[in-house]
Amino acid sequence: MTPILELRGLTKLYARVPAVENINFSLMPGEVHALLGENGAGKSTLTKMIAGVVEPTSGDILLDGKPIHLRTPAAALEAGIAMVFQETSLVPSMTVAQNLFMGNEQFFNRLRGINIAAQQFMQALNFQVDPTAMVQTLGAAKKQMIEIARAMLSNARVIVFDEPTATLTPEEKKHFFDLVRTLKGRGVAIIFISHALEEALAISDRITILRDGQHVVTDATANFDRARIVQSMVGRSLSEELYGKRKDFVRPPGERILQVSNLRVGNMVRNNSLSVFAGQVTGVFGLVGSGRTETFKVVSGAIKRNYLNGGEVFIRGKRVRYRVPAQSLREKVAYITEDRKIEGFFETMSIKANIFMGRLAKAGWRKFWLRRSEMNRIGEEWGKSLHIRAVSKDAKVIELSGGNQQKVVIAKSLIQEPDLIIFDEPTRGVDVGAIAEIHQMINRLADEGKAVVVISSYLPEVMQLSDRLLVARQGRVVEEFSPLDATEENLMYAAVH
Amino acid sequence: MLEFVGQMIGGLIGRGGSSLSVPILDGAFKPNNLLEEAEVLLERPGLEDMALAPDGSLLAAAGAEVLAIDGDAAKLVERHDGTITALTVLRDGRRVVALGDRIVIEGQAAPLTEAGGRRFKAITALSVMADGRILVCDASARYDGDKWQYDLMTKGRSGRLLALDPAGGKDELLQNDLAWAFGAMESGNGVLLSESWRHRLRLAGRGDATGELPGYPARITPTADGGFWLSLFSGRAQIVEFVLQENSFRREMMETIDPKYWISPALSSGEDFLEPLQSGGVKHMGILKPWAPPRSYGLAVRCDANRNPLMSVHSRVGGANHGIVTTLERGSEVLALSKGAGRLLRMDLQAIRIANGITGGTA
Repeated sequence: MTPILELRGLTKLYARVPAVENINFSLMPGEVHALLGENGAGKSTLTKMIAGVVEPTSGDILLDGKPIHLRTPAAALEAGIAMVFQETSLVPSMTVAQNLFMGNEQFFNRLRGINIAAQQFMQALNFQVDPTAMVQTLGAAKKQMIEIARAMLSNARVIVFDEPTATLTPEEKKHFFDLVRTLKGRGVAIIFISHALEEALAISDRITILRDGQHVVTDATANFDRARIVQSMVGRSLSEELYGKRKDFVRPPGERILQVSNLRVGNMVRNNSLSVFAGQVTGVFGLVGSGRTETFKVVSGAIKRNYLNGGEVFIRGKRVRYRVPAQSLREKVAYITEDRKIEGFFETMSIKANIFMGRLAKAGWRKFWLRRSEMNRIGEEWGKSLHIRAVSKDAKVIELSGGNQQKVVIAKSLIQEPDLIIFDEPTRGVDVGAIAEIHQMINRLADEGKAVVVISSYLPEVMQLSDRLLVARQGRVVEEFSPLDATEENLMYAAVH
Repeated sequence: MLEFVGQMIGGLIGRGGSSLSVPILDGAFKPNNLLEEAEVLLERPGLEDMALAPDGSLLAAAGAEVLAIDGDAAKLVERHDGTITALTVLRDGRRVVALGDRIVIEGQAAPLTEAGGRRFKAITALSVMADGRILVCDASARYDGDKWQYDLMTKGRSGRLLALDPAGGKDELLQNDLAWAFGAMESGNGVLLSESWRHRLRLAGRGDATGELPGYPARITPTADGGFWLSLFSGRAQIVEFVLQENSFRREMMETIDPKYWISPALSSGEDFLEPLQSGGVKHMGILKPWAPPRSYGLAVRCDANRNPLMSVHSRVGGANHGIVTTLERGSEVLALSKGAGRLLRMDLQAIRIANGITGGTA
């Protein structure tokens, strides 16, 4: 059978440095092909070349056995290749329907017409999204659905999914996998990029692994297990570091740093109460919409609780009500966002400038005494201590891989020397090598006596990291588990029932 | 003036002291069934306090009697002419008992009835200091010890903590204006006392306090490592906090309803269908549980020398061993006195550690 898509010796150089080098790859009709690798391995570059976003330096792309030149995404789309991006590329100030039909507008657009068409199309996909809703009002999961729907609408024969499930709930994931199977049945070929190795193992027919821009292996999924994938991805065995043995020790609690009592935020957080102690990692597990993020955004001053009877927040026993995050910084509270591209960094600024932002925020009015030379020193120091890898020290954050971007966001917060550090989805969209480093950092912070909160939707991660496990459901913490006796089934049951 | 205006505004919008929030039982306070499943050493109505003699033997006060507890056998040691409200033993082995408004020291003919120019009214706890003086918690100047609910509902803060010299030396007032003083002990940093209606532990004479406890603190007893056991005789509930803000409702409740049916904490519950707060339910983990606001609850917590809670023992809503007023650690065992159930309970320290998930540390 002729591959629907074939790459031969594909290479892309940036300033003579290869991002991907001499890649050979094939995709059969109706195949789900998982593309795995650490962040920075070259997956995104490769898929961007396939989708016409980036032009290859050398090598050939063959569609149905014929060479093609994809100079623009529109050309790729016309050829039947669509890409669903890792972070949504939707326009927040437009409606769902407008986003769905963007690029396909007629000279005269009838809003009602596209709303109806969008409604019908979303229903056909069984996606419960209001076509008239503004995208900025939707959660990450629904934005992802629109991305997927947009790819489906273009009648693509090849769809590239870049981390499609990172923001989806388990139910939504199941629905997404059903959708992938339906597409597969229709002969659509799918390239599936994911850091959730179990998903790749469950859904794909073949797996290709890249490392440092080089092709490592392509084989049938049946011939892989998690250990082999991880070994191929990182060139060393990280499975013990990442998914370690069952926890047999928990750190004893120190001083109660944070106490949240009967917190209310609209209909997202309902009478939520919890405590966080120094010297421990407190894991918070819950599905999307369980109010975890909103609770801790109130703690950090990023959003406000209800004005009337909104509950109480105590930091070290002191009642607090922050209007802006700067106030929480003074109380040594740091919140590391789950949405790093929007809230985490200034993408066109350098690594050191971004990290220096944290220093400026901490300095308050004393910021006027800080020198630029300190920015260079700080950038170098933190880049080294967190192993931030970049082409040059003046590289912009947007040019970094997801894992390195996350490290910049973490460094920006840690430079403020917080006592309470809230990590919201710290390893979302981060490669396995960086995951291990971030996990080590989280453990080190707890060992140093800091109070650490890890909000995560990924069960193995919270179970491995936490000394206490809180499960949130429908706006409140409903159960507390010890990682010594918790099981994934117990946690998931508490999260959904 | 500003504070008053702040309180008025807080009262309107439910902030500050007018917030109806109560702390959650999590972390070291995570519920278990250890108190409920504890071995019952003694069951007797009127059990109020217990103390360890210098030789390690256990004494308990029940009604007017002091009992020596050996295993599960109780032997009468002495009987007084009133109900004992607190008990301790001096370093020379002499027993000291409080009979509500007076203190009887073994070997002294006359009881102590006043200190600091004021008569005792509701002595709730006695403890011996390193210099031989006795710490006395006189919980209220207005109500007797058995009328503690009245003191809570009238927002009493007339309690005081004194250090008395049993040899007849000078008495010292360590702290006054306390909202029901119900426990004290000498610690490395000073005298630690529990103030029930403010849900806190504080160092006498200083502002340093551990507040926002999830229950009403009672007696404190030291442990060998410098830490202590704190008993909490009932859990906090939002409905009680609400009632405490509603002055006219509370006044009417006090005037027209029998105290045992008040919306207030209790030492025991579940004996009468007229009791409030016993109906309702909440579904957790697929199991229908009694409604979360407890009327009575069993709780004691072990803290380290820095007052950080390490582990706790519970008898949950629906259980019987509620109203824990004294908890002692003796070697490898922990003894708790449930005033609500009239029981003396025994637990294994190591089992408590394991149940609380403690895999390291000293507790």
